[in-house]
Amino acid sequence: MTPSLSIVITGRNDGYGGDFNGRFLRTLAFNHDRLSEHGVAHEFVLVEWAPPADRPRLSDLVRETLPRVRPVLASYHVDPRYHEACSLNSRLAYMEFLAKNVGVRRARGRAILTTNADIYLGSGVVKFLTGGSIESRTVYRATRTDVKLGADESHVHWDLLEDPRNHTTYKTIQPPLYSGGSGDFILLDRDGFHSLRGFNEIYRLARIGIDVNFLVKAYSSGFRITDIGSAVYHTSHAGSYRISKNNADDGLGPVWGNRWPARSVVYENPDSWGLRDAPERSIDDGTTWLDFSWDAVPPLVDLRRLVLPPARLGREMASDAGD
Amino acid sequence: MSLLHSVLGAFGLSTAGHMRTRLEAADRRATKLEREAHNARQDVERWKSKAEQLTARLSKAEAARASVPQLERDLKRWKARDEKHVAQLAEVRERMVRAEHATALSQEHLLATETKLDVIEAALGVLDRRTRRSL
Repeated sequence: MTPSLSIVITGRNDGYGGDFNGRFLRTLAFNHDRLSEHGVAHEFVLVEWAPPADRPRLSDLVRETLPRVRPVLASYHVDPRYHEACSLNSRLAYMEFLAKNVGVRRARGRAILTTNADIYLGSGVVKFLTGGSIESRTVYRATRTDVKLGADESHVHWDLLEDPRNHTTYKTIQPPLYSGGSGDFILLDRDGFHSLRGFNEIYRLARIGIDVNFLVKAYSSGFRITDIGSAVYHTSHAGSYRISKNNADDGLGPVWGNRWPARSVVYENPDSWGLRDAPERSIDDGTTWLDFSWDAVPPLVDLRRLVLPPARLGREMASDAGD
Repeated sequence: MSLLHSVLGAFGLSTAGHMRTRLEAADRRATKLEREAHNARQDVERWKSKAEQLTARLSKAEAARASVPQLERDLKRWKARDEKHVAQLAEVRERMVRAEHATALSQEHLLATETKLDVIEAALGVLDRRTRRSL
């Protein structure tokens, strides 16, 4: 059965930000339970980008600890050589948006939500998803609120997440792009995501700005961007962008890559975006390994695919200073 | 008293008191007439002044009327000049908008070029590392 919603998340068992696995499993269980309770037919598309060979895979951890999630989990393990072959920045440890594209490309849902592995969906978001009112060529955005939940995060519930006393930072999102924490929530119909060919795969020097760059591309391609009027919740941790941007000398930790004009230059990914041509090998039910092949690797340089936004449409994008 | 008046009156005479009273009345009338005459003179002066003013204004108006055709010609000329300036201003404004747009577009192209250079530089770095590793 085709799920109405695919939730694309990426990660790997490398302890990113401290207790990554704990945050990942808690939010996965929480989101699955809330969506199930509200009757939203969904799948999780988990992309493990260059997973370490000496540690258990996240998908295995899900199977062990969250058997109820297993039936709705489609997992893709990307051969680590893709990272080496695709990266244009040796400081970039993780190619978040290439990983997301792998998931978006293979997601089956009528709507696709790309989010991060430590994001709790708010009650308003789930209510919105229950309504099933996803319009085509519309990008839905939600604000991200950082929460501090204390030592015990094992019993998270909406009352706790939505209690303003637990909120540490809150960032409003504003038209026209509604940017700001965009990597945590970008929702649109599958056809729309495919017509835009996912996130930028040409400029592979940075992780920062790729999400807002997607919004610029969508907006300048005539997509509507709207705020669904509800929040998603994130628990602060070491290494998160909001924390690391205040610590590093240049305002960015090296794992985030270069600052670049993400609001001015967009991209035209090739047809093979999302490692389309990577040979797929089924490991077990619900888990696929993407074997390495140079045929699937985009060229190091493809300058014709870095372009100005396709149509300005008389729209002003510089005013929105979300990220 | 009235008998005395009658007797004196029969001879064309009058009492001194009566005469004084009549003289006083005559004086008052004379004073009043003098005042009225003075006022009348002032009115005359005022009207005269007004008449002079009106005459002057009339002269001016006639002079102005004479200059109306010239003024109309001047007005037409200025209007034509004004229309020309308005058209020039609109053209300049349009040129400025085009220039701003071209500048913005140039900046965007510059950003795109810089971004492409970043990619080229990064790619060269990757190739360099790969080359060194293989040697």
